[in-house]
This record gives sequence, structure tokens and C-alpha cells, in this order.
Amino acid sequence: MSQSQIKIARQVQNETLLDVRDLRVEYLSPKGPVRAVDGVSFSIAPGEVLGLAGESGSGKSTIAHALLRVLRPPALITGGEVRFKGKDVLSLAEHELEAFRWQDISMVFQSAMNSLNPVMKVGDQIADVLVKHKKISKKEAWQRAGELFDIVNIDKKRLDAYPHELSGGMRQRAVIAIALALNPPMMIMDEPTTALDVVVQKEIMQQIEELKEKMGFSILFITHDMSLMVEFSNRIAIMYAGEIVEMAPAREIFENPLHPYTKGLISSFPPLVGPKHKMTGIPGSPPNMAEPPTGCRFHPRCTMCQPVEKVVNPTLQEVLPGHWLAYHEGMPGV
Amino acid sequence: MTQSVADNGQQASSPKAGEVVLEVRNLTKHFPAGTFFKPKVVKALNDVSFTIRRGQVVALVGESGSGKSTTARLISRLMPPTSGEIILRGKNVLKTEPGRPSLSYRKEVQMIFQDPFGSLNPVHTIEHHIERPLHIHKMLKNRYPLERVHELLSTVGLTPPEEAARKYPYQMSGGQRQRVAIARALAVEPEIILADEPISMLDVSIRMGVLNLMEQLKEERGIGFLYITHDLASARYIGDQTMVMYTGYVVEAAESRELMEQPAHPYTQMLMGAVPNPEGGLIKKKAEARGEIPSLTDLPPGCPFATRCPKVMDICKKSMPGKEYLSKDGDHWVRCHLYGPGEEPATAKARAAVKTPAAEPDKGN
Repeated sequence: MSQSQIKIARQVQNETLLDVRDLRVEYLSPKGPVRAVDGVSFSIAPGEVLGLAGESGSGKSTIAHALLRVLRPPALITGGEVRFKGKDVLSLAEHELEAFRWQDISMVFQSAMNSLNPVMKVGDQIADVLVKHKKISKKEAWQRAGELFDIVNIDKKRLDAYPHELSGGMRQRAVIAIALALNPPMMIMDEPTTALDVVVQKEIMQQIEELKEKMGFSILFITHDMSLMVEFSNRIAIMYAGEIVEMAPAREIFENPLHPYTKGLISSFPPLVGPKHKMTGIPGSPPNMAEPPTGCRFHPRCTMCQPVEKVVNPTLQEVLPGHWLAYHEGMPGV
Repeated sequence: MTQSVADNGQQASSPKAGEVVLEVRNLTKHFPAGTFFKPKVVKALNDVSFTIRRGQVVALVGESGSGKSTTARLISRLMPPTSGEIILRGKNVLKTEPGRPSLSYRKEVQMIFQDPFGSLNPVHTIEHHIERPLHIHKMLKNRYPLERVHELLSTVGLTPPEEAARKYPYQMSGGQRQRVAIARALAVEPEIILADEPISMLDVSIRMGVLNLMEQLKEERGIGFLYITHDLASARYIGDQTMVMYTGYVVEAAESRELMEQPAHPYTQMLMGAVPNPEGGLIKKKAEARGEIPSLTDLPPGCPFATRCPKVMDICKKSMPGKEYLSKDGDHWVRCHLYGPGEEPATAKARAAVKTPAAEPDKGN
């Protein structure tokens, strides 16, 4: 809020579109609060694609929902700061949120079938957004919807279709069209292609890439597929059990992963070319977030664990220029 | 039953992976659809033939709706095929036991499903799940059931087994449940395991563990696997042989590495180009990827891929090509007019000469 706080703000680049600091989200449960997101900090520059990778339950989607302030009880934002173009998102009032959502940040969800209304024509669903936010007539809105369909490569005639009449790929394109409707400077994409086949996935990811080049929006890209993430993102943040354990440029994280979890995650995706070698994945299973392990949360599954990590949770530090790591003194391989 | 009967000649020359255990010939499944006045047919599976040998993993790759799961369901005989033959150890099982599959068939051919949350009964312990097949199939032979259950749980890496046996499914993670499903399949000492997307619902970090377990079972016990997946990379990782399916047809089959290194069918090439592959660098090449799988109720005549194919020719819209063999041993074959009209196995000639498909683009126009 105060000027001094903004000064302290860690800024990767001079210009920051979104700055998240020390975000904490808890789910309240009868057995006590479950901390799903625990002190996460990152920032996104204009036009940048930041990838958020991690397994299910690591808190990726919770962050996305927290940024848009669409979390519902029992989830609660218990701390931290989110600034979008200097605006404090967490203190926005309900009527301010209406303008903030979709005009500043829009979102594409994983399952297009569930984010479209099955009993409304797709065209109406796009027009709705425009009528509500731009205060234009319904006729103008339909015309603009047609233009949006052009942008995402769907025949304008399909505006009259109901969601079930469209194929999976087309539905996801329609959802992207809705997200583009107000030309927002940032988009959150939560597993946008996970439910789709690879060929359709490639088509849609390329289209998003082209649109991004043309319109210059930033993307917070969430997926568990490391291969897709490395191809598509500029920077990648790796999450484990509600914390970011490593953050670096995409190539860097793929070629020079430092955290044992990142290494394991990359070795969980067998390559398509090159010699065949044994891949190990990661032993054990993801932690129960109601009772997270002490110290470093990854230590029960870590093959390079040191005694200190069972007690002290390492903090995220910049170990190489632009390469952040949850780091302990004397960590092997660093 | 003798094993040699199952060999119908074409593979007899390749002894690399042991004897043929299961053979499927011209398997076809059409589902009725539409209304009484406008009946339609969904052609889910068309003329699928392949073999699984002892200790061999055959991977079946394709997009959703291509008929992968239908294949597994037909082989596990959860539903009858429209036509075709299933031959287990030389015995044509659809002839000898046309109704419900016999106990012995169900013992030899086991299945693992995609969803480990749905395939275990929430009100029973893990012990119950694994003990049941032991009783039904009389696998105990004067042994204590619990002893055998613990042994099986250790085999699939659930340790300590005493603790795992007492648990209920909800107390286990997805990966652990999938291991229970594998232990249950192993309980009856099957020859063939049909694994329908066994890792696609698991957390990424534990997927390799399940795949490595399958590999270990294949090597130590000689179990043959049909591994169904939409993920080409995992097919290459574990599959000895890979088949690519499109709209119910197997369009290309080959030894896994050869298939990925020299994909012949334009569809296989399209799939390979679409898989995210960071190893290949960040070259954002303009994809040839386009279009979606056509509706199975009104497939166009001719090759079903013709509507999306970048190398489509006139003949493609008229007739469906047969199998064209690209290698001498008959391991690599393709159904595509680019390589010829194709022929049936009986008259198959070795066409080793046509091994470099990319070298003839002019044929396409």
C-alpha cells in the first residue's frame, strides 16, 4: 500500500504487470486450516508467459483463483499482496472487482464444457460479456462476437450453435474467444489443453502464441505437462506442496534443473527422440497437505536429502542470475 | 493346445519375443445408433489384427474416439465383437465359448482400467480385493490367502504389505491404487494384461513408477501387455511394438523406435509433429496439425484421414487402402495409398525398398 512497500518490491524487470508477494491461501477444515498456497511470490512482465508447473494438489489452480478473487469458502486468502499495474487486488471492493475481472485479467479454464452454459448459444455467451462490460447493444455485441470467432478460427455461423454441437477443440476456442473479448492485458490459462488430443492441442497452443504476439497480452500458464510448458513459456516456476521451489527461464530450467523435485519432474516425461534410457520419476507420493512434512516438504521423497532439510525449510533465493531456488547451504549439485 | 497353430506364417521368422499368446484377427465392432426411422451405425472398430507375444508390450496409440478402449473391451470380452476372431494360445475362443467367457479365459486375460478410483470398491479393504480372485480362480493350492496377498502386494511395491492389505481404497493415493489394481490382475497369474490408459489419471511424478513396474513384470514373468495410451512418448518408452489407430483402423504398426523415427503414415507424422518435445529445441515451426477426428457415424468413403491429410490424392477419397508392408519381416506396415494399395497378409511381399517415405512427396499431387 505505502510507497516504501512498493520500493521494496522485488522486481525482475523494471516494468511489472502483476506482482504477487508472499501469497497465502488456506482451506478451512474441521481438523484445522490446510495451507494450500504458502508464501508464493512471483511477478509477470507485459507480454511474458510465466509457466506454473506442479502436480495436482500443489496449489497451482488455487493461485489462479486467488488472483481473480474467485475463491469461495472454505478457501480464504490469509496473507500476502497482489498488485496488478500497481493496483492492490486483494483490497478491491466487489463492484471494483467486476471491472477488474475480464477487463484486466481473464481466464481460460481446463474444461471448456463446464465453463460454457449448455443451454445458451455460444454467440450469446460472448455477447453477454460485451454487453455487460462495454455497454453496447446486443446487435453490436453479436457483430463483435463474429470478429472474435474469426480471430480464433471458427466459422461465424457457429455462433448460433449450442456448446454440445461443437467439438472439444472448438469449444476451447470459443472459451478463448470469450477471454479475448475485452482485450485484457493478462490472461490466466489453467490447463487449457489437457482434455484435448495432441493434434488439437498443438493447433490451439500455436493460435494462442500468434494471438499473444499480435495483441501483446501476458499469460500465466498452468499445466502439469513439463514438455508443453518448456515449449511455450518464457519463465517457469515449479511448485511443490504450496510453495515455489524453483523459478528460472524455461530453457534454463529444462537444461539445468537444480532442485531435486524439478529434476524428478523432468525425468517423469520420457523423451520422444534420442536414446532410450531408464526414467525414474519420483519415489513415494505427493504429501497430504493437512499434515505437510516438517522442514523441506519434499524431503520424504528426496533422494539427496540432508539432515538439515528435515528441520529447516529452505527459502527461495537467487542462486544464479534469474534462477531462483529453494536453497540450503551446501545443497548438492549447486 | 499347441502354440504353433497361432502363428499364421508372417511372423514365424521373428523369434525375438517368444511365442504368440494372443492373436486378434479382423476384429470389428459396429454399434447401432440413431433412431428407428433413421438408423445409423457407429463404426468403432474396423478390421483390427495383431498379435501379442510372451513378454511383449504392444502399445496402441490414438486420439480419443479412435477405438483404443473398444479394442481392449472386446479382447477382455466385456462385449462381443461384430465380427472377427480372438485366438488365445491357438484356441479360437469366440467359437469354443461364444457366450460368457470361461473362467480360464478370464484367468489368462486380465485388465487394468484407467480410473483407479472407480475400479476398486470403496467399502472393501485392499486385502479383500486381492483375495477374491484367488478364491474364484482357485489359485491358493493349500496356501494361506493372506500370505499370498502380502506376496502380491510386495511384488507391486506396496510395502509394508501387512499395512497396505488392511487399508481401504480411500486411504491410498492414485498411484498406490493403480498398483493394487495391478496386484489384483497378477493374482491369477495371467498371460496377458490389457492396460487401458493405466497412467493417464495419475500424478506425473508417479507415472514412471507404474510403467517401470509393468516393464519389470514383462521381463520377470513374461506377461504380454496391450498398453493403450494417447501418449506417444510413453508408448516408445515401454512398447516393443506400437500401433497407431485412427477412427477404428490401425493405420500403421511397427517396432516402436522405428515407428517414431521413420513414421510412414501422414497421420503418424502429424501426431509426431504435435507432441511437445523440448529436446528438439524451441523451434516454433508452423504445424501441419489441422482439423479434428471425423464423426464415426458418417465416415467418408475411402480413407477416413483423407479430410485432414496434407498429402491427400484422388484415390484416397474412393477406397480404403489395405496393409502395405514396409519391412521384410512384416513388422512395419502402413495403410496408406502413398505406399500402394496394400494387400492381405497371405500375398504380402517384402517391400524393403520403400523404406524412406519422406523421399517421395511428388506422389502426393
